[in-house]
Amino acid sequence: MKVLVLLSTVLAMAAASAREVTLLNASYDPTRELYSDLNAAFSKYWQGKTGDTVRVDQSHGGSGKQARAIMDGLNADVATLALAADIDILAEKGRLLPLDWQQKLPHNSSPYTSTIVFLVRKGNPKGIRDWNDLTRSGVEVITPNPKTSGGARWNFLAAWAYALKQNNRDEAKAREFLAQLFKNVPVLDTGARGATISFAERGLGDVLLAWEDEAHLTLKKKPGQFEIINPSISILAEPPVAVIEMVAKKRGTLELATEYLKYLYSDEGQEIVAQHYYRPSSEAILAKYSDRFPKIELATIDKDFGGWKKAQSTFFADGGVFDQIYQPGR
Amino acid sequence: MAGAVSTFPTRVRTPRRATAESPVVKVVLITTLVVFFALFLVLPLFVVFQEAFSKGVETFLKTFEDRATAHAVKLTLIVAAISVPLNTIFGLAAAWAMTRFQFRGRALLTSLIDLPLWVSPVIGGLIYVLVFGAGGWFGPWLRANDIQIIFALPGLVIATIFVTFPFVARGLIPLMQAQGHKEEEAAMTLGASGWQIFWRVTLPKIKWGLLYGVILCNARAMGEFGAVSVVSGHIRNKTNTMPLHIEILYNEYQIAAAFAVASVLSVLALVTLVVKAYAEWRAERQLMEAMQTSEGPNP
Amino acid sequence: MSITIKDISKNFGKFAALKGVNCEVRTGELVALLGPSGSGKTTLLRIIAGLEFAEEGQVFFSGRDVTDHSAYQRKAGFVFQHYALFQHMNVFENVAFGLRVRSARSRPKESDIRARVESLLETVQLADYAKRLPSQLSGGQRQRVAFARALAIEPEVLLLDEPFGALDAKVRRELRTWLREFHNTVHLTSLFVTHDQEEAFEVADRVVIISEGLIQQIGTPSEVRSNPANTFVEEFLDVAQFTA
Repeated sequence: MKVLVLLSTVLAMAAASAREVTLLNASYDPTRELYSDLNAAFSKYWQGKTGDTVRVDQSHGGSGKQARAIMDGLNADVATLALAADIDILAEKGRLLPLDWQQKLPHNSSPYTSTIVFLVRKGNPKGIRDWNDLTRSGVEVITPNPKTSGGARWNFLAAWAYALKQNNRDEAKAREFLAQLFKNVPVLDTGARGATISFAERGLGDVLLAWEDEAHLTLKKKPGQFEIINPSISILAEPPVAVIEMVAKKRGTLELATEYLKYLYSDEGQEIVAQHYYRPSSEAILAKYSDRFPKIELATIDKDFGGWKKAQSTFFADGGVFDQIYQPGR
Repeated sequence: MAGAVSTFPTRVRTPRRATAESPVVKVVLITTLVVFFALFLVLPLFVVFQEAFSKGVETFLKTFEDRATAHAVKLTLIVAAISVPLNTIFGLAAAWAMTRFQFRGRALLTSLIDLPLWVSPVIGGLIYVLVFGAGGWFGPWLRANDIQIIFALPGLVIATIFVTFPFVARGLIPLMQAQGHKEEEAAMTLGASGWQIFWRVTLPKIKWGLLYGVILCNARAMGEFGAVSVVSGHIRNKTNTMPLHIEILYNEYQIAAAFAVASVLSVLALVTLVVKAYAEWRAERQLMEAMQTSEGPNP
Repeated sequence: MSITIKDISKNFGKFAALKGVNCEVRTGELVALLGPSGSGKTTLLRIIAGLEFAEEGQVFFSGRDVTDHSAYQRKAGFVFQHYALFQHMNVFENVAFGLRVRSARSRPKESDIRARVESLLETVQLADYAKRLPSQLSGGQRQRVAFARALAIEPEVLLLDEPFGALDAKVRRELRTWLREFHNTVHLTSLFVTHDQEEAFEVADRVVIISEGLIQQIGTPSEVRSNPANTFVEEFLDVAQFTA
């Protein structure tokens, strides 16, 4: 009896909250703070514009894991993930959005970009300046597992880009370089945030390969303990966003979800993006915050690696380059 | 927090032979045990509380004013409030069926009750994703009928029920087996109906064993991480229970807040421990009485 | 009230416990059901009480067919070998149980329940033990509580399953005498199961000897003793005599 009463109360609660207009944004790990601010700003903006109240719920996890959850039925109206490949899966296998989703919004549907930098302990005791320092013996490198983490894949490719350039595009030497580098990795966390916590909270390792935004966030959260080192070359990471049309249509939020993503491109949205150390796609806002974003030579996934599909199968598929060069416990 | 449990009231203490070990061995063993306890159990617990209050009582209390945290606490209570009573009923029914009736497949069923203790909780979550998820068996039908199970409250409840299912039944089966059903038969010959027998005879006989099971079930329901993590979807203010929220807070550098929530779960664990110890002691006594005063189960 | 057993057969899996049993307990009679262990005597008693159901045959109480009645409808007073007292209730509540579980309509007033329980405890000489828990009583006292509890519902038949089996010899003898005297005053139709022929012959009006699910002989103690029906009875009594 008690159970029935409780159940009906719960159901009533669920029904009551369903009348509120909500969006669910399924995102990757390091964007928690970014979207926390963006969502609040969007709610305010939307209320001012239409009078409606909207609440954007957040769900965060490894980019690949989030894509999996959406496939399994997580009712996300929008996905803001680390890699285009993860949203491609939703389009190809899940048929949850059109295959040409990346053409729907400007800049390949990436309202912000980022890159990979080094985070070292205050004073840079190991004297780390560039990628080649990471292969020295006695240097411990913290990076998450490329099999599960989007950020880790960017880390790997950035290192690869450096190795190719240094060795006149000799792949065999690049492999050797990466093998050497991963010998210095004591443990692979599953996600970018986990790796950051290992480095910053638990004090593991001498250098963390991190998203630029994540590195700055760590500086802010733990002031005076770390510094950022910009390598000579890194990679342009484009985290894409998309409306999960199947879900949004069903929930009647297609228009709202689209407006939400467009808002990310607005000046207001771009300001917030820049404040969180994501590189804004808007030239004007980028110029305004240029002191935050030093010019680094950036390889791109399309030009240097032939797109995500190719990079994924060459480097990260079972038996790919990563599996060949990485032997745990050595 | 409440991990798999290995001691159930089946365990009957037998006095150790005084000559079994030399005093040196005894001292070494006991010292090892105490050091182990201090290092692996007491110290971490101490750290939890120390971290929780590291920024003062005010910060500690403020943690629970945060909307997401308050929601996580509420959700955890709701999940426990639904799954524990259901598992109490399931557990009673299962124990009743196992000890009162002889039927084909009974041994298999008895083993199946333990299944959630053998499999990793992650698998416990995944099977429900496979069954109720969008691509699962019932996925298309659920979607067509607008029923959301995975990544919503029903999924959390189902996963929790799965993980905590064995506790009540496992606490009761050995007890009810040892007690037999002579008292119930006596009540029957005295004209008592089924309900009367259950409330007046069976329930008082098993109440401590039942309480023991319910408490363990509750502790595990509130503390479950693995299975719930898989079916949660991690939506703030919607599907994050306390253990999931602790991980999120920790990952967001809100260390004091993370430990504040953790300390609440720890307090729950400590209370559980005390009540459990008492219930276990009473249940053991009930079992001993049953073994002394009755001939045990009917052949 | 009389008990009539007609062609009762009962199997446990492949084992045939009773193979077409017929017998009768007349009104006011005290009958012993005597046999070695595994003979089916307890099974027969439980079938009469409604705690077990036979595959074939019928049970009649005073000519009324109660074969399909459940135990709680039959309300035969039943005394278990190991007492089966309610451990969590004191002596008073144990005896009062059968009265308290009656429907509101037929339940006696609290004062009547009290009076009845007290008089029963008087009968079994346990008036001073009303507040005790079963665990605080000796075996003989427990069995007397079980008697009082079975009698509280004013049964028309009393069924006893090895009632003295768990007691030591001295107490057993005392209680045996007490049962006979009690029966002499009340004349409640009673059937008791035993494997002890001395007990059966000393207490019972008539003895039913059962073996391997079949009735071997029915008669008064002297009839059976002087005129065994077959070699089984002869040998059974002989062996029993010898070991007694």
